Amino acid sequence: MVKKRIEKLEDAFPDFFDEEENSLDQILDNITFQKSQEEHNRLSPESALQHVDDFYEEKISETCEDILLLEKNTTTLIQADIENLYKGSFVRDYAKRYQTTEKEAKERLRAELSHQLQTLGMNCIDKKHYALPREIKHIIRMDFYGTIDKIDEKLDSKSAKKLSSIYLNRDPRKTKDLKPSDYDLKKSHTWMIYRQFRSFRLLERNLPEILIHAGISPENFAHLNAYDISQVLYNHYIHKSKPDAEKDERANLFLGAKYRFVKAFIRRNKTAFKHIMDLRGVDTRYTDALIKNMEQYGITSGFDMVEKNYSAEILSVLKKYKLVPEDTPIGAPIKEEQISKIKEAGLIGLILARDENGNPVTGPELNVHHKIAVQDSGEKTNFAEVNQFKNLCLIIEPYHFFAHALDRTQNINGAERYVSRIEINENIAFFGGFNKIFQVECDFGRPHYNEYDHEILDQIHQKDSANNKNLSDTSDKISRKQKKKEKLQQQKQIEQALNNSKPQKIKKHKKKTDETPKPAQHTDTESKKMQGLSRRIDKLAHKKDEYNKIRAELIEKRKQYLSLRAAKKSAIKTISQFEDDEKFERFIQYTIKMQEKQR
Amino acid sequence: MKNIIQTLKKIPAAILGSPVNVKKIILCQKELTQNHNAMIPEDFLELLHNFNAVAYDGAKIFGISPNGKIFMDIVLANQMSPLAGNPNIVVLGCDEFDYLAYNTETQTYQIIDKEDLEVLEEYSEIEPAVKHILKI
Repeated sequence: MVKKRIEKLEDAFPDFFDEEENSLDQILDNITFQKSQEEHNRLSPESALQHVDDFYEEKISETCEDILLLEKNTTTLIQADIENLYKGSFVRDYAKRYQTTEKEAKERLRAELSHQLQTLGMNCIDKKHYALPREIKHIIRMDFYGTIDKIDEKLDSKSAKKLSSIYLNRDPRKTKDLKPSDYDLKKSHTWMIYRQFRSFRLLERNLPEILIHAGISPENFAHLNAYDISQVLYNHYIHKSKPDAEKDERANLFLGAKYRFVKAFIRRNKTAFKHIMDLRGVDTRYTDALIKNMEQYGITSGFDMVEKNYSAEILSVLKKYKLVPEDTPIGAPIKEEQISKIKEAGLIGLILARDENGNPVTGPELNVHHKIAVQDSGEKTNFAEVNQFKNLCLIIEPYHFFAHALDRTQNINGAERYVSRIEINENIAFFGGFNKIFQVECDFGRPHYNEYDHEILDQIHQKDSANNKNLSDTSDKISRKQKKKEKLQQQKQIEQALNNSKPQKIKKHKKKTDETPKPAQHTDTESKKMQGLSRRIDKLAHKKDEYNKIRAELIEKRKQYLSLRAAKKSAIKTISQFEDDEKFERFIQYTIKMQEKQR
Repeated sequence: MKNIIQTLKKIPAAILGSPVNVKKIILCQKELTQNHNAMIPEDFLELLHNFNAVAYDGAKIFGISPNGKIFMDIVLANQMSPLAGNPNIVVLGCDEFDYLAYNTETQTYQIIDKEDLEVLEEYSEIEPAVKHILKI
């Protein structure tokens, strides 16, 4: 038996018994001493060293530390080159050395730097510049940060000039009796640009009421500029976002595109991001805190890196100031309530997490970068694209600085303006280094928001509210079951309406892009789909029949088996009753006799 | 000035540079004039005496040869900006869209659009200007 087993093993692993010959040492020897000893002796010491270097270059892959070191060296060199490019004294020396003009020297240095960056994956390109109107830039800014800046309405101030006379002469008394339905928002060209941005579209529902409150009539609304509308929104939302800060310069409107992007990025690439931060040698405590803040608030800085547990030193100080209960033991977790108390007392430095050298734990600075700069987005018809996720990229410093190092605007042929910009691969969502292992590619795919047909939604909501009113009138009479049924019906209606609205949108879009819609093809594909479905249903029905047949056969076979099993059991019982052969013989004779008698 | 220093100290996210060296200031002012830019105003220097450069949420206040790669040098930033060689202006900070600059002619701090260099806001004092650029 044992022999057979060994034979089997030999068949499965033919080299099993040659293990000694192919031991790890021998493999390594074979790699490192490829040439014979004689040949090795013939090599001079220098060439032997070269040989070893070549071997290491070829055979040993780079470790993570090597890659990080290389990355750091490269960034230092690039940083120095950028600084030299913009340092007058260096450019002058360079021009002297190569006997050229300063301008030419600068161009040469710039070209060299551009080439260097290109080899590292940052392409510097020259392209035509399409300027964005100032008002649209203002909207893009608000969408990016999620805040609105106050415009000083004093007539002598510089910013008041941005506001139109229609806005400045508004009168809330005149709009007192107006209703929200009196406003047709589509009439305002400015608002149509505003509503290209999802965040502003979400505010649209409340806008008529805000306008009534602000004293802007429907006729005047059509003539407001972007600054006027932002000021209307500022005046309304400043009280909501910061009720105690009348003098505040900035009102919070919604979560800015910047923060939404960070949240979306970390949701999709948490592990990859963590790995990169580990590779870059960032303290894991910092990375964890960073990821937590990115997930919760979409921020990449602005959080305290606090110790998790109380040490004896911390406790002794905090107990002095009576910031913790006297019975708090060493090693007890630091709760968030206590952190805020300590912060208020100005002792946050005491509980900050520290590294081996006693310095507070820090990490790299992360910024959100526009791949296609806001300034160059003038050719776009949908301005919301500027702040869409596919145009944003999370980038570590100093790479963000590098990305803007060669920015330049130049006039060519008089009016035509060209710009130099460094472009980052459009799929890169996180740029943590020149080496690709420090980068994360993420295809955010379709726009990060669904366009809902507001008209349909409004109609549905109107119907809903009407239904709800009717229901509330007769609520005492209607049973719970009926209410549930009606609710379900309403939900179905909304779902159906939404489903109907989506293909309409697609059709509209197709009309815009293709100009030749193909409804016939659409119906053909639907009929094909239906045919395919019916075939599938037939197949499934056939399979079900087969299954039922097999099931019936199995049941019958089981019955037979059970009866046979029962017969066998009874036979065993009868045999066991007759332990002796003689007794069994007598029993048989007795039964035969009885049978004969019966006959 | 005290207010802005206190405010910056309270923000945990703000990365604050260590105070500037006086020698560095003299060298920087010399270099700026050599490059035909305006000199740094006194109240901004007072800020640098507390924090030589500030970085917060993508926005920056430049420093004078500050320590750390996060921060940016005023001379370098001015040379890189399209405002290089403007004798009335010195760029002191920036965010994604705008520059914070000081105009010696109007003696005001200005928020200037990075692209078309239009002056968007003007402040006679440093505090609201810094607050504007850092969004605090």
